[in-house]
Amino acid sequence: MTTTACRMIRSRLSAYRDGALAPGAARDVAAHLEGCDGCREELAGIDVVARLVAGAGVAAPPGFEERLRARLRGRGLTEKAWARRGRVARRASLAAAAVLVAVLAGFGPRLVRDTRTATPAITDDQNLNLVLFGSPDIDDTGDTP
Amino acid sequence: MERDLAQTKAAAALSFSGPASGNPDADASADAVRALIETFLAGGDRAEDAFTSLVGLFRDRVVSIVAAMLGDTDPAEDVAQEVFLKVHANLSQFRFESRFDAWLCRIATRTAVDHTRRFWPRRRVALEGLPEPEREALLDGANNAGAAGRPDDPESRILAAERARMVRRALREVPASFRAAVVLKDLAELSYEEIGRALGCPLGTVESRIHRGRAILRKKLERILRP
Repeated sequence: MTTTACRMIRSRLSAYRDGALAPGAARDVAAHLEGCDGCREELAGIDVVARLVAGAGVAAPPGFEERLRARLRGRGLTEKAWARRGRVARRASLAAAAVLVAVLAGFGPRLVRDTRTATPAITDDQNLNLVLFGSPDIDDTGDTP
Repeated sequence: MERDLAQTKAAAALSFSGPASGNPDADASADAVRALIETFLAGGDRAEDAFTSLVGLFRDRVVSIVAAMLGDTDPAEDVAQEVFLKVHANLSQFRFESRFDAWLCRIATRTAVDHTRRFWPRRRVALEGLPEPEREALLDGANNAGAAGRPDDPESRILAAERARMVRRALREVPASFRAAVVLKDLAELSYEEIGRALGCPLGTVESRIHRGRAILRKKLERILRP
């Protein structure tokens, strides 16, 4: 029979299974499971689902890296550009080129601009979702627009 | 940092746990990944090889996440390559404040979701009426999930592949936020904290999404097992 206690315990079974509960909460769940066949069955079902997902991986097809390299080259990263890719070297060359162009054109320093800022930066702590996708989170409304 | 790429790749293949884990193998692999990233960022002749090695280490994981999120392997390679293109463009911004693989999984998950929003039509995958062999393959997997099995046995491999395909199809019917949480936990093996950062939600929400996602997926799978 499913009781109120069962409902509360079951909502935490995934976290219990994953070892993500605080020690006290985990002890409470374990104590309940000892005397509840229904919740033990529920836990077993969750475990099967988690294992099935864990086994749903797939290997990348052969030639994955080669095709990726071709796409990178297609975006302008030629072999020569790869070799020049060092951050310091790139920064220096961009700055030098920008200054030269500005001076030659007579437009002054307002044209000097680090073009690297054109690519959105993703720091570890930054909200990557906003930067890359323009939305703060994956919403709960499903996948379709 | 000068380091032999073959050595770093071999070391990194051990595991992808983060630094200071207390596990010598995991710490070595984290160091190896860091070495590859630093070699790439330093530029020069070895940058391309370093990035390619990095891709080689994580390609299967990224393709798996993307395929699970999309419910299909057909577009997975293309989307997985989009993931690595984003990594390539933004790797200089990675500060080693979190695990690289967690950062990568965040990008993979979000890129897959973005792809589904752009390209998925409003359709539902019909899980009922599956051919009997497919149903049996999944039933076998449900009964033996996690068992050691015989990976070299061709029949086992076929059944495992079929089972994985069925699970991906069922995952496709799980709402995106729940699916992402389940995939990041069970397939990408991220911690609840890392999933919270990836999805931009607190730990309680992570727990709820994983639990509800598994419950929904279980019902979908039961529809296959008991039509």
